[in-house]
Formats: sequence, structure tokens, C-alpha cells
Amino acid sequence: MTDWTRRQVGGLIAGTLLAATAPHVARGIVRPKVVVIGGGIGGATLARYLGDMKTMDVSLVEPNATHVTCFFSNLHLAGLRSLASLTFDLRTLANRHGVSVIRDAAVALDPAARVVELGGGAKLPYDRLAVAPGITLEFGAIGGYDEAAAERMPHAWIAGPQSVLLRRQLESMEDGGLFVIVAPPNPFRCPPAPYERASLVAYYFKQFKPRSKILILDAKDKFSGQELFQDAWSRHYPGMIEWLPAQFIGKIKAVDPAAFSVVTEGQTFKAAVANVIPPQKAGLIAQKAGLADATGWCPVDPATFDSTLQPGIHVVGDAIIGGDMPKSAFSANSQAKACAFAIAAALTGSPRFPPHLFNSCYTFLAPDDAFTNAITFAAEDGKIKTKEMFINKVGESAEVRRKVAHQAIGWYSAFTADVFGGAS
Amino acid sequence: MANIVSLATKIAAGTMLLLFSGNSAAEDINEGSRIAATCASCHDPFGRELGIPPIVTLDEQTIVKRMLAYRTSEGPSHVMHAIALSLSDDEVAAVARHLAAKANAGRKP
Ligand SMILES: Cc1cc2nc3c(=O)[nH]c(=O)nc-3n(C[C@H](O)[C@H](O)[C@H](O)COP(=O)(O)OP(=O)(O)OC[C@H]3O[C@@H](n4cnc5c(N)ncnc54)[C@H](O)[C@@H]3O)c2cc1C
Repeated sequence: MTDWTRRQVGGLIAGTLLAATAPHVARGIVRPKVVVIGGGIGGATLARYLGDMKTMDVSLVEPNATHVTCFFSNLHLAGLRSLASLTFDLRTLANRHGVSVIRDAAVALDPAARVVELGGGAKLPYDRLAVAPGITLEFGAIGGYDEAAAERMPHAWIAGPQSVLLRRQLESMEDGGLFVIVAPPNPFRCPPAPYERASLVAYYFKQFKPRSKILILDAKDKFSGQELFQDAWSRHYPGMIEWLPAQFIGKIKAVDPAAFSVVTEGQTFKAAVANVIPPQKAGLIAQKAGLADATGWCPVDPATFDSTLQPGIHVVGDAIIGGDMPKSAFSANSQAKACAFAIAAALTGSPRFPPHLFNSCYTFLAPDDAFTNAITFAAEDGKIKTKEMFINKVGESAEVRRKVAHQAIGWYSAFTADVFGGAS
Repeated sequence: MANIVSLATKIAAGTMLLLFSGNSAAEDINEGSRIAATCASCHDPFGRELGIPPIVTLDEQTIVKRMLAYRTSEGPSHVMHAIALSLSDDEVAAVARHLAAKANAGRKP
């Protein structure tokens, strides 16, 4: 009996160590190596929190030197925020949080050898790998909408040059022009954002091009925050924004970039400026590496964000099947923290916790009118489930909404410092 | 058997901690630091008042008192109401202790 117990315990200890770490790590010779792919919201948060623990060697692989946040990029479209004010230098993660930032793209993963291959040819060994590649836009899902078409009809769904392009087009559009937004089917990055975009562009039109109109051609029959948006549109921009759901227009079939037109089953809509937001899937590397299932998104364990298809590789952010969690920067940040604690527990034996998952997205209806939701989640039966959900309500005073808009500014500043590690 | 497993995990965890305790600068990971990570998604790390009240200068008692008040009503902040409802009394105590300890460490010369 004693003998059996001792062997069992010994086996369990060795098993725990070996399952979690490579042998050289288990022997304590070197610090465990963690590689994070993608320096957007999920990946930067993860690298920052792992770096701050000071027990692991953390590398972050990202081809871009800076990150431009999608959140608040609708304020840029309205002329209310410069792109520079939305841009963060990833070197802060190196300078302040001990992260090795590698400016390259991951092109292949080898889970058996635990190596990531980079575009430049380098091979990065790891003990644990985390992938946060965001989304891929499905070019080709709408006929004629490819990368070249996006230069005329921008998606502006990955912030940066696309946001600048769309802003320029809106600026040079004549008063009285029609701005068409093609809204994507579920699931997609940031469910309220197409409608926030309509609201803020309407705010811009109201001041500078008051005869202009906005038409939303939607692949869906309802959308996130619908009541709050429709109430705000009638209060702030009466007659300016028209929303056409899928049941009215049918399938969005094609675009003609030369004619600036969008073709649906029943009709062709001609725009002065067109913002086409195509259907989306997990970032390409996640699909290439077998982390995504038939839906195009990555299934994960909701407590550790370990891939259920490739255990030992964690996935966070927009790329995952997040259950009730929306694809938002806030969700990506929250998931990354839970994932960081799970990786530390696996590699360094720090305590294991149930994840504390939360989302609170600020959405602008006008510069001084915003709403926010607040949703808590728990991991249940292998899925992320909503526990409690609160949101601003139709009919609240202007004062209440002004306060939320003010809070949104504070949130942006604190949140980006949390993700990217503060001023460099 | 359940006991053996949990004992084994504890021993394993202990072994791992020893392996890495050579680095004295390593952050202590505990219940408080885990929850404080959620606070950092909205509250300014430098304690500036930019629309969302700063929390880095609050003492332990104040944090506990405010969190328990937020739990009872959606009124003042539905965001904090949601957070407060998601935390047990023990978790509120742990995060308050952690935040206050960090504030104290920051105040030392
Ligand atoms: C208009 C708009 C408004 C939004 N507003 C809000 C909001 O108010 N609040 C909110 O919470 N969210 C908002 N969002 C959503 C938010 O921006 C995303 O949910 C968030 O960026 C997701 O983070 P992520 O890390 O998954 O992806 P990303 O932030 O996109 O990061 C992915 C990164 O991975 C990199 N990458 C991809 N492939 C590779 C590879 N092979 N090798 C190396 N690196 C790679 C990319 O270059 C990129 O930097 C908004 C989005 C849009 C479009």
C-alpha cells in the first residue's frame, strides 16, 4: 500500500512537470520560454502580464512596429481623433515589461518540435505558445470584393491605412452624397461597431454635409444595442440613417468598385462612399496551424484558453469561439489575463484560478452621448456563459449619457496603458 | 485518491516555486493580483482622474466598503455593479488587500 502510494505520487509529480514543461525547464536550468504570436490587443496584454511575472522568457512576434486601435477609430472617421492618438509603440513592452518584441510574422507552427517558424526564416523554440492573430477578412465572400476593391471601398475593420482612406473619402464627399455601410453576418469583430460608425459619421455629416444620408445594408435582421441606436438616431440625426435588414434586401451578393455600387438580391445601391465590412474568420495563421474548426474560429478551454484542437497552444481574442463573450478588445484583454495566469500555473507552478472574465464596451452615439454594457462571465460545461449583464437604457438623461462619454475617454487611456504597458 | 492527487499537485507546485524562487523580483501571484488585473482594464494606473475614479490611492477599508455598496445597487455604476456581483466577500477582501498594499509600496521613498 505504502509502496503503491509513493509510486503513484511520484508518478503524478513527474507527470505534472513533464506535461507542463520541457525537461530542461523541469530541471530548473533555464527559465521557461513563452512565445506569443500577434501584438494586437490580446497578444500585447498577454505578453505584458507574462513579462511582469518575471519568471518566464517572453517573446512577442508581430510584423508591425505599432498597433492602431480599432476602438475609437470611428471617432477618427468623424474627425474627432487623430490616427496618431490611436497608435501605440510595441517597444514599451520591451523597455518596461521585459518582453522580447520580434518584428516578423509567424508562418508555420510545429507543435511536435515546439518551434515557431518566422517569415524571415528564424525558428523560435517555446515551452508554451499563445496565438492572438485577430481576424482574417473573407475577401471573395462578396463577389468582386477583394484587396484591390478595398482600396476603393474600404472596410476600415483593421485600423490603420484603411481608416485614413475612409476618412479621406468622407471628407472629399460632396454634401448630399450617400454613404453606404455593408454590415457583416455574425459572428464578427465588435458587434455594435458598424452602428457606432453610422452614428459618428452622421454626427460629422450633420455639421459639415447636412444633406447627406447613410444607408446600412445588413446581412442580419437585428443587431447589438439596436434599441439604443435607433433611439439615438431619431434624437440626434432624424431622417439621416436608414437601416435595411437582410429580410428586406436579401443576400448581399456583389460590389462593383468602379461604379461604387453594392448589389443585393433585389436591388443595386449606388454610393458616393462605400464601407464594405466583409464576413470574418480567425487570423490566417490559426487556420493554417489547425487551431480553427469548420466554423473558421478556434475552440478553446474557457478556463485556460488552451486550444481543444492542439492542446499546449493557447488562443485568445477575436480568433476564438468565445461562447457568450463578444469579439471585443475588452474581451481579448480579459481572456489574455486569464490565459497568462493559466500559463504561469502550468510553467512555474503558481496558483490556479478560475478565470475572472469581464466585458465592458463603450459605444458612442454622439461625442457627448455614449452607452456601455457590463457583462460578467463564467466557464461552465466547457463554454463561456454570461452570468450578469447590465447596459444603459433608452430614456436616460443627457447628463447620464454625457458622463458615460466622459468615462469612455478615461477608459481608453487606462485600457491602452494596461494593454501596451504605459508611456514609453 | 483525491487526497493523494491534491497532495501531489501541492508538492509539484512547491517544487516549481522553489525552482524559480531564485528570482527575488518575481511578482507574487495570488487571488488579489488576479482580480486586480481586471481593475486595470479601466482604472488609470497612474491614479489620474480621467472620467473613471482612480483606485490606486484608496485604502483597504474604503475599497471593501465601496465594493459592497456597488453590489447592492445598479444606480451609481452598472459597470461596478456587475463587477461587485461577480466577486465573493473573500475575493473583495483579497483585491482590496492587494491594491492597498501596492499603494503603500508605491508611497515608500
Ligand atoms: C470600428 C471598430 C470599433 C471597435 N470598438 C471597440 C470598442 O469600443 N471596445 C472594444 O472592446 N472593442 C472594440 N473593437 C474590437 C477590437 O478592436 C478587437 O476585438 C480587438 O482588436 C481584438 O484583439 P485581437 O488581439 O484578437 O486582434 P488584433 O487586435 O487585431 O491583433 C491581432 C494582431 O495579430 C497580428 N498577426 C496576425 N497574424 C500574425 C502572424 N502570422 N504573425 C504575427 N502576428 C500576426 C496582427 O498584425 C495584429 O497586430 C472595435 C473594432 C472595430 C473594427
